[in-house]
Amino acid sequence: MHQSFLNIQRYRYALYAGLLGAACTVSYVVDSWHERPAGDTVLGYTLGGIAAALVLFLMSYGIRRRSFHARAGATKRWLSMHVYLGVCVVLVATLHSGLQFGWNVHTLAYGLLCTVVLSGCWGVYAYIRYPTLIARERGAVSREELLRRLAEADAQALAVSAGLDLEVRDLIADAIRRTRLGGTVWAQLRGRDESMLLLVPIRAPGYSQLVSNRGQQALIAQLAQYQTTTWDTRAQHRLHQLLQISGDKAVVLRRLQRDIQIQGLMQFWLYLHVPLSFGMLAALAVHILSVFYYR
Amino acid sequence: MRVVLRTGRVGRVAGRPRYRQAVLNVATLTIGRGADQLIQIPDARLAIAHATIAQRYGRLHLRVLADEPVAVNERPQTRAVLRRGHVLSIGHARLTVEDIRQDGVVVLRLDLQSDDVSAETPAAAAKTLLETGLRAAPASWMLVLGVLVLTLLLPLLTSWNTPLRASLRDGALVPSDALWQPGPLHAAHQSIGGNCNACHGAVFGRVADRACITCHPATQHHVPIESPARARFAGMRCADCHVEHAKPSRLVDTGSRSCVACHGDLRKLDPNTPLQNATDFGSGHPDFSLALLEPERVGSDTVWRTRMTPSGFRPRPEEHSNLKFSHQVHMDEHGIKSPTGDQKLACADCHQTDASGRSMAPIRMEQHCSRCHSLQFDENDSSTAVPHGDLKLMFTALEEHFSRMFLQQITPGARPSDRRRPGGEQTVMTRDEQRRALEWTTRESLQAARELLEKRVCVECHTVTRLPGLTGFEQWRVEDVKVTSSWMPRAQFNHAAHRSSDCVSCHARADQSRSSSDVLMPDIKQCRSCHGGSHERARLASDCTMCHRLHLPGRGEIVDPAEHAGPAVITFMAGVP
Repeated sequence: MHQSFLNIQRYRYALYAGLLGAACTVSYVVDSWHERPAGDTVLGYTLGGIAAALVLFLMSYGIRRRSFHARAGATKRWLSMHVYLGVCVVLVATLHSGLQFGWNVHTLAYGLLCTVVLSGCWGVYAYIRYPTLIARERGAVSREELLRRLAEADAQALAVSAGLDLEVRDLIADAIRRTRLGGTVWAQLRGRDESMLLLVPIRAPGYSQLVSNRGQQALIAQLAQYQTTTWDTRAQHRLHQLLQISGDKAVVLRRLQRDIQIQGLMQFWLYLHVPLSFGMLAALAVHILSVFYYR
Repeated sequence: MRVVLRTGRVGRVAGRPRYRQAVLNVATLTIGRGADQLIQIPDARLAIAHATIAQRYGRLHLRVLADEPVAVNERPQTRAVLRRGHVLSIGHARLTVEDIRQDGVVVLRLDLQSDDVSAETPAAAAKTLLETGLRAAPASWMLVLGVLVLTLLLPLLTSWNTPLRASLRDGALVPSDALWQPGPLHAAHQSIGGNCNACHGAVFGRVADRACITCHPATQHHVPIESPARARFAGMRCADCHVEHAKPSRLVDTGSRSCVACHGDLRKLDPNTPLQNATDFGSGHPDFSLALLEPERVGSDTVWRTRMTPSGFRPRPEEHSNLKFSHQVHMDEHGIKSPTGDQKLACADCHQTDASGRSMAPIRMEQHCSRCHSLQFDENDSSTAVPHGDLKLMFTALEEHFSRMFLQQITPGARPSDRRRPGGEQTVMTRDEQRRALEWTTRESLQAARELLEKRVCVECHTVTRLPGLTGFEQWRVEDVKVTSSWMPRAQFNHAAHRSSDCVSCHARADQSRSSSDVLMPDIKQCRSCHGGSHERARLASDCTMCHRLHLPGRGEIVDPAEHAGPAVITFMAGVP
């Protein structure tokens, strides 16, 4: 069986985290028989101490991960610990809170902790799911290869269209210019084909319109229309070639867009996870300070 | 706005030039690097949406949206009104206003200086998140600083009594030290509002008892203030039990610092305590014992002493109230004789609560009994009623009555309004007549008194003792009556809270009781049929404070140790020497 960071050493760290969580839960249940569940009881302070220690340990993963001396195996073990204890810390913090929430810095720290762990869970999902998806979308072909094929398709289209009417040449050039790939964070994560096309009426007066060229559909439709209005067989042949090239380009474009989207999603969770965890650390420090400031 | 956008000249057709052109009918002509711009100029220096051209009242207005201005006739502009012949330099492209026709059609010519239409165009866009300039560090710093300013710096400014304190605390959406409150104040303390310092004195110090005593100065201790048992409370604070900022908000918290900490094993603290241990009402509470009043004769007086009955009502306690009373007779289901015929009585006809509704008001002869139990010695004459409660008054009333009778007999025409005038009448009665009158009056009075006291009226309810060797009015004594009113003085019972229950559901078989010596108080089993322990789910969960109070009356006021100086002073928290 392949050893991922989740099942490393037969789920050893899942077991440790589970045992810690179970011990905390049992103590909480036993204690709540005689004590009002809260953060300021003996058990409350204990659970709070455990949660704070866990948070510091989890935060230190960022340092160890970058450590020059880290061996690959050790990094995997640390990640496993990081993931399971991260889930566990939400449980411990919840027990520490005694389920007393409100509009205050204490609940802010708790809420931030939960969002940090949620973003971490997204990260775990991303690491499990997306590599398979990327392999499926891209196959063994690299992104550079796909980009090369895209450029090739564009060059071919320009070359083929050179022997055609000016309208077709302009159309092809416009379609290439208005092809969109990547862009802003939102555009990358959304993964939608936002390509556009300025449609000029064929051999007739009328207004030009800027339309969506998703999947090169508008271009293909327009080229097909040119083909039906042309009697010149050579021109028809070239238009046929252009249609083929446009179809191929649409496929490559789609794969590139999916690749950019999935790669983006696989990285984006970390842009939430890291800033939120630092915000949480600040809120946690204020939480601890304020609790002892006004005792 | 109709725009003819020419991108080149193709040649001439029928003598007229032919152009590569697109005809647009749009409200605004958009210019930029983006694919969604009507005039797309693939130049990395341009913004995605760089500028717009719109027609208003026949005039062409250029508006630059990006920071970089557009050169109109080689003069950089951010806004301009375009005229025929104007040349706009946008990136490497040039846009010429060729014509603005009479019918409003605008003719523009676009020269893309480099006709480099290649696959490089989309390659310019970012294809990874890193390429978009997204970084974790700036976001982290912003979050950390935001959290610190809003939840630490501003609350600290409030706490340090800066001039900002009032405005920060009063502002509804401005963060103040209210943000540090773990939970709301109890409703009883809402008037304190957001003034944390009302209770929280020294920073990083616990709330001192002084803060509580400032507003609650008369709070009594649990044990007599001078007793050594007070040492047991050393180190305890008001806030140990009165926990604030907790949810759910309760004035008294029954946590581990509760009553059971001591009362669970009282012998360990005081081997001679008469009190029994209690841990939980449902499972570890002693049977009730009652504070019964017992009459004791001291000389000619009756002294009432309180005697605690053994716990558990075994042997069955008897009350000695010196009253003769049968509930059974009064609660006869067919009714009892009354001046208005037979009347069925209910418990509430005599047993009424006091104004608070919590406890029972005492039963009074005049209010509850006298309607049926008249005190007339002549059953046919209502004016012959004697007063209740004082034998001397009763005898005086009898003597007055019979004196009047005597006087009315010897002077039949005498009217009450006749007055003796000085010197008007010589003697009405001779000395012999006076002696005879006194003898007759006394004899008749004694006769009536004997009838009342020993046979008919008083004796029905009271114990009348005849004192040996005495004659006249001194020979009788009616024993003092006192009914126990506070059966369990250390427990608080609220009749109002139990109003929905039948009286006899707790005071079992009260209507069957034949003697006033029967104690009709419910035992603990009766209470437990509804009340369970503090963690009970099937019955009403009842903790100690439902019936008992920590602060007991007459124990002495709690003082804060900080108010006292010198080691000799016994304080609430410091130990006892």
